[in-house]
Amino acid sequence: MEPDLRVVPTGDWDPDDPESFGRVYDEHYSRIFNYIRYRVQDSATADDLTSITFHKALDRRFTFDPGRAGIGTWLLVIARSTVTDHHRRRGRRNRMLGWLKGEQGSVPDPETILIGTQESDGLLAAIARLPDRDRDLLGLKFAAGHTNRTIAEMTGRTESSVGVIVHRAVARLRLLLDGERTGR
Amino acid sequence: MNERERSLEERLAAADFSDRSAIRYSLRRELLDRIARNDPGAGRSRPQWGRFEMFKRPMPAFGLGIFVAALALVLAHPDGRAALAKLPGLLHIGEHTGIFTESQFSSAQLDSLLAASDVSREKGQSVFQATPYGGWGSTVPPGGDPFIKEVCSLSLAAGMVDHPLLVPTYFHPLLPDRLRFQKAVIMPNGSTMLYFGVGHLETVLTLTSVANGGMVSYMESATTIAEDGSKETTYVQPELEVLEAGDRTVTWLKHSEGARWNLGGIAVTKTDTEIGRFLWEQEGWSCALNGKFLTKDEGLKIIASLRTYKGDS
Repeated sequence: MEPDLRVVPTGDWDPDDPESFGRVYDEHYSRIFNYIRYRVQDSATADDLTSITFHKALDRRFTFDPGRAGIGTWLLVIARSTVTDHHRRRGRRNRMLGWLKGEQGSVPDPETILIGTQESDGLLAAIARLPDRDRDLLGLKFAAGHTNRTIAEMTGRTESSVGVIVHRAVARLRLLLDGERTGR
Repeated sequence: MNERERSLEERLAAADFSDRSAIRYSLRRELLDRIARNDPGAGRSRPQWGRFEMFKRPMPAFGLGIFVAALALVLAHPDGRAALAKLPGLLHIGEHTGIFTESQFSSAQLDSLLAASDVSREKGQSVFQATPYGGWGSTVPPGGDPFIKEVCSLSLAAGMVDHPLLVPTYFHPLLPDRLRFQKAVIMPNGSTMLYFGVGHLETVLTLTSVANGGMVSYMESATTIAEDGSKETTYVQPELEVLEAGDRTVTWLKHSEGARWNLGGIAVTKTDTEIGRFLWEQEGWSCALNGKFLTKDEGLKIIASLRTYKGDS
């Protein structure tokens, strides 16, 4: 069952009231952090992007319309666009680095490689090896707790397409975890 | 879908990586501070209320707009100890630590005092930080930086101050481990707030320097705002009990509302448990132990378990 992503009942949401924002923060912090963590290489970056997400939400809180979407969904939309911006900026930077080094394609920066190797959690390490599209959908499905239908609405895909991608991503993740266990 | 994939899905759904987040509590404070500061970047502009208002909590009662301030303001006056000590209504719980039991200032005096404090902060002569456990301030020593530093490493914190830190070695029955260190907030004068535990088990130990004649004063007040906008602030009379915790003599300051406390700086939470804070002095420091739901028994065990930490070396 999909969690109640509104959590703060519509009638209780008051953008002028710090208590309202604090309640929303407490209820949704883990969900937002976990979703972002699915999509980036390390916890420090997830911290940075979670911080940006909530600061953006604070700046835009008067534009949130409880009649249109749950506040959890609204936060997640901000988090998704924040991660997309991050990847875009990073992609540009890596392409520039590659060009300067006479290489083509993306070049992971040393910091990311270091942190990636130090990541001890096998599950996170396996998730990090999935394509970004899979990480996005797995994050929406499992970290944010959305149904395939809601994910379809958020991502502009069909519900069945979401189901198939999630199913294949889980199967791929299982293979990666099994490979890790057997040392392959 | 086979069983292995189903179990993996369950594992994914149950996975919570947010305990690795290092900013959860500091970010929360930062965001709420932005709202309270009326940060121009924080959405629509709002009237300026002043920092005392940050502690106000809506309370539905009698159809009036009633707010309660569960306020603990710490004032460390390095030069004003003698003057403060003579004030009527200041109840000493130690040579350098007291509790205001009645108003010392008229509303106009309080406004003037706060304005002077703001000027002092703007000039970099003092700092102030609001926390769920009260406002904490410090003067800036001559030549010092007017910054409040926050670190997430205990050894780093120990290296940044010239005094030993105190660390609880208490095993909480609900935790698999000791109350784990979370972060240290270090004031320019070396006063230190040490955060241990998380969630409702969060415990904060504050060490405020009084070695140079400083005086730390606490007060708790409740402010009622009537329908016509008039305010009335009353000082909450402390209920004190002197107790022994290991080799320390401490004062238990029960929250007189009993069932009401700040949770995470923003909410009023009700509990049937008797909660409060501990105050004591040792070796030139005025110490306080606070917690979101700090009970007397638990606090005593934590204080008895405190050990000196001077760093890794």
